[in-house]
Amino acid sequence: MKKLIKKEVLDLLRDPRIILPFLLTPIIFLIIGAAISQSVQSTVTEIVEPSLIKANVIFEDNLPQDFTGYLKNLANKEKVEFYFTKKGKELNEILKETNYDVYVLIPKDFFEKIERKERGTIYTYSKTTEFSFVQVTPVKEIKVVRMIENYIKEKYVNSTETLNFVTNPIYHYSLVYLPSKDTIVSSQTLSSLFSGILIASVIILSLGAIVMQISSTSTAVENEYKTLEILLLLPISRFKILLAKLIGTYIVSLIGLSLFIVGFLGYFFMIASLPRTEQGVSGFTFSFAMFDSFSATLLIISIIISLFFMASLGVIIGILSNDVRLANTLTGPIFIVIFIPAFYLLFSTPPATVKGILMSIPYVQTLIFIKEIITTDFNILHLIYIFNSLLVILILIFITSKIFSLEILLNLQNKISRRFKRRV
Amino acid sequence: MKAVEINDLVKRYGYIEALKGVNLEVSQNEIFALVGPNGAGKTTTFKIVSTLLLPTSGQVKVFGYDVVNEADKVRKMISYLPEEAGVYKNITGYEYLDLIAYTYFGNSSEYSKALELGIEIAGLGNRIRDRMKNYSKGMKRRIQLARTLMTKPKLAILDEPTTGVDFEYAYEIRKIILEYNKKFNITFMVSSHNLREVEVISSKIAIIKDGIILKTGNIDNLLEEYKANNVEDLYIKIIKGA
Repeated sequence: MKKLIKKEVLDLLRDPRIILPFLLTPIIFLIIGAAISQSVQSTVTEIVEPSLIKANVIFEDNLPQDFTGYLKNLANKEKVEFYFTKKGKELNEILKETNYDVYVLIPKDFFEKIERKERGTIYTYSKTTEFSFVQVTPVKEIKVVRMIENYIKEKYVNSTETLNFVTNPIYHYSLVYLPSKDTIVSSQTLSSLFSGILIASVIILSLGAIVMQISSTSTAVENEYKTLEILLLLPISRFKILLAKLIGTYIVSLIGLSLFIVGFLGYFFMIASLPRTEQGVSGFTFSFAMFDSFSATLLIISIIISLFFMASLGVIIGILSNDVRLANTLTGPIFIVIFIPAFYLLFSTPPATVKGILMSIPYVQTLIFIKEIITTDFNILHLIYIFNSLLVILILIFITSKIFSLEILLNLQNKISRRFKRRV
Repeated sequence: MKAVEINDLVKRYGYIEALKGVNLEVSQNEIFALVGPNGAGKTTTFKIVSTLLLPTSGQVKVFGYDVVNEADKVRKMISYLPEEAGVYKNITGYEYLDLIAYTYFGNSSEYSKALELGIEIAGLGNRIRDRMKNYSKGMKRRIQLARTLMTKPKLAILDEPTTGVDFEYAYEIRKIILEYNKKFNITFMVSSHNLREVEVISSKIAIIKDGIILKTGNIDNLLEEYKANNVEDLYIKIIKGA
């Protein structure tokens, strides 16, 4: 029995198909961990060693003199630089034209309510141009709101007030201004939108995996069923044979894509029918308004390119595998490897050059487009990303057509097979 | 012009030398048999002639075209039936033959003629409309033979054409080879472990062992030279004498 167990353990551990996913998993987690910790680190740093916050207090009615004095006196100690602006124009315009870390809107009746010992409402706004899954802005907003709250507690609260007013005299609504869309959404709305993005990303990921699996299997089957030789002998160029295989696989994936779109739209409509928020709009109603035709078109093109890319990769895996089992073994790790840059970009904001290179990888690009469609105004840069990804695919197909001969394939298949075949 | 000319053909797979300087000539309209034990180099030779593999050294010409530099032209003239040729399980025999006919002839009148011929050679009746996953080994072989000959190639290379088929259809295949050789002037290169079959269909033979051609020539002449009663006897004498 002992010997049998030993044989089993050794046999499995010496099999690269088992070991490779084992090794890849911690690497992926390390990369994700590094990206997330980078984002969290900036939040923690903001709390422990706060940087100077520039806060613009926008008021509709005159503010009490000692209120502005109170805040200005605390400026050095709290590292908050206050600016005060009388609301003379639309809030969107102020947010668009100026650049502060935090905007605080004090409505007309705020201090009247406070005088009456009723809870007053204030709104804070932050500008978001780039979204990473851990945001620093709320920390800054909360700090400014606390300062205002402290002023009210010191000035207006005494033992006779209701407990509610004493403990929490302010209703605080946190809102986010998206300059690219010139739209204000609540933080909750933004969160639900990002949940939508995550779900969409997962669906795109699944679809990509399915496409890759279909194409790798269908190509590996040519090797396994011994039909590849006949295919290669047809009196047409290898490039055409390869392209036909790619397009065939792609048509199947497009059927999958249309089903995905049906499901995805259904998902959005279901969410859009949810009750409206206090700000007057539900998140997903906004989401439709925010998807302008240009960015939506680019996203669709990117999805189409990505699926073609995944089909191409699948075909390459298929022709390099001499059976379906090996193709399936290779598909998993290669899919994970492609996903690593996407993970990195989803959770962090790298330098423009690094981003540009990574965005040329079609599948990575789509996942990031899904994220950016809300926060970023699609521009010429996004067009360049798409052009680059097309180039990547063309290079990939060209290289593949060069190795698409039995001579080269046999050599490569033997090498791969020797590495991956389980020792019996 | 010779149908096939092979000069000093060497093929190495890594350290293994599969062909060690093979020289062969196949005349036009000939049915040429290449026989030898397993691993002798028959399939490697066929794959090089059919442009699937590249020679390590030496030269191979098919109807005057070099298989390396003019592979596209060679492919248009030949048809190859590999020993283990498989089929697409989820398409029907008819769809498969239709694909082959269309690939070779496009939408011309030749296309429908080729398709009709393919269906006739396959001889599967109504089963031609079945998905090929439901075919027996013999039926798959019939489809593959049909695929090989329906385009009336100038050179047909058949690696063990009767493998896996019953006696009756093996007889049919031999009849088809002889008929198509005469009717359409198709040159055949055939390998077979069935030496009686070789005797029936071929006029010329080459015996290969360990990548070396031991003997090649007209069957009748060789039988006389070795005082052999039949090809089987001849084969044993040459192989054992090697």
